[in-house]
Amino acid sequence: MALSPAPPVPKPVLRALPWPAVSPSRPVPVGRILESNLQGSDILPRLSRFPSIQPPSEIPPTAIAPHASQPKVIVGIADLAATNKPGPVLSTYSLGSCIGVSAYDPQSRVGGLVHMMLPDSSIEPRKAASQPAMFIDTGIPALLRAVEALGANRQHLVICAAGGAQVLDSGGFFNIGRRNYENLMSILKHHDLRLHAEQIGGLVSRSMFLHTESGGVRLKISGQMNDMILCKSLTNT
Amino acid sequence: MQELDEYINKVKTLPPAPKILPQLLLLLGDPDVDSSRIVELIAYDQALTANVLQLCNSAFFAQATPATDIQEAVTRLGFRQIYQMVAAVSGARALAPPQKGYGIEPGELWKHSVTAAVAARLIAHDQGEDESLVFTAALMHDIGKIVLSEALEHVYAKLVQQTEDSQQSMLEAEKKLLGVQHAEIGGRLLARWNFPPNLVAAIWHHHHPAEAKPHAQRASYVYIGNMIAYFLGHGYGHQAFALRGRAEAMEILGLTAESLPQYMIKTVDGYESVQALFKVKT
Repeated sequence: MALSPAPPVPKPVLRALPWPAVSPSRPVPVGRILESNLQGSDILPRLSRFPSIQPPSEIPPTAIAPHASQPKVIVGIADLAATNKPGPVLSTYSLGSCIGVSAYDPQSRVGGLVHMMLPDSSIEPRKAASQPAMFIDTGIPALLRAVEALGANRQHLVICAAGGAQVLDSGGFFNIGRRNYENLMSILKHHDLRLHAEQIGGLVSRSMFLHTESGGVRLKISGQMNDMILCKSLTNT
Repeated sequence: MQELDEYINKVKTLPPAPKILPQLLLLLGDPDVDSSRIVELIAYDQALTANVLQLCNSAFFAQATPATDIQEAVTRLGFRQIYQMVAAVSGARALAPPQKGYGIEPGELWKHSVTAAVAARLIAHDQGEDESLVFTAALMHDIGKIVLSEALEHVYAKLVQQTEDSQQSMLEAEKKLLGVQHAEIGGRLLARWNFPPNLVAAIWHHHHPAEAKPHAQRASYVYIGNMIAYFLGHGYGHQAFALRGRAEAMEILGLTAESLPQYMIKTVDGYESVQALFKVKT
């Protein structure tokens, strides 16, 4: 029997998109409503919006981190990284009022992570052009472009979010965490996407890790001993 | 006041006093000061001098040839920059160890303090205020937490519960559980270390800047710097964000709703200098 030709494998790239390569004003095609092919058990239930301290997760971190020795790729503040070479743990630290969003396609095993700081690029349009990951309204399109350029299919994307902490009784001046979250939801809605899991708000700061080997997402929360699993492994490897 | 002193006296290990800083602040505030006096004062502490020079010659600040003494470093970078390095090295001695009572890991309080100091300095700079003083106040604003950490280690479960269940701020929970809170302890400690009254007031009232009159402006710089550090994720420990939003701090400084995001951006733009200070050796 003749072997069918192997499908072309996209060249592995890390941080595939240098910032100037994409213009934030470029219209982004709107995907159709996400029909996830994931089983319910693959994804943890959606978490409350402003959760209190979570009890230690019942799943040990090793459940999603079988390759703990995988190299870490650090995504700084207002930064984005994406890869189609499964392996590295895309890691972002110090999410305060900032929001981290991961996107992973379990079929193509392309993943990306963005660390966004502010809700709206209109306060610094020039900054948004050079560093779209700084703002929610430019960071999400930049993340989608980055993973799609590496071969991800938008319909398969599993999207998780964490961060958006809020200080107590914050009025108009200090509600950046909440505004970040609100804008995230409206931008995702605009792209017909939804969050599969979130850990948003509250009084804590967080670090977020996307395991590109498995698609699992892990959180480290300030003042808590145990890591929390935001999304379990999505692949069988 | 007596209550605070009694509390401080009972604590087994106090953070080391940054002895040189109050004197340096005084000298820097005097326009007629002889610059050699400043250099002498810094050079007197050899360990500090070595660390300041190391910072000065680190990747971020370094020039073609390394500076070999403080005089040379001052000539290259200017007094203000050198002062901030001295403040950073002295501050790190006190602020870098872990504080278990708050669930703070090694270095976390330090990163928070440096980020707050840089953010507060940026605002002070734009308003023509004394940058060195504001930088120092914001750098040292949480030193009271070092003092309280020991006591809190035994009650931190209660502390977390207080802040979570009744939405109390960390400050209010401390007061309820210990009878004192970190801002006033920090202020009192800095007063005992002979820091000037405006700096003491700025730290004492950094969670209620309007109450710092006549130093409300200084306290507001510290308040906003602290807030920006939290927003940028350099909040730390249990219930890091359990602090109250004080719109009056913005009003006191004449800042608009857009200024806060803009100063967040400026702080991040200057992150290389912040990160150089994260790595200060003590």
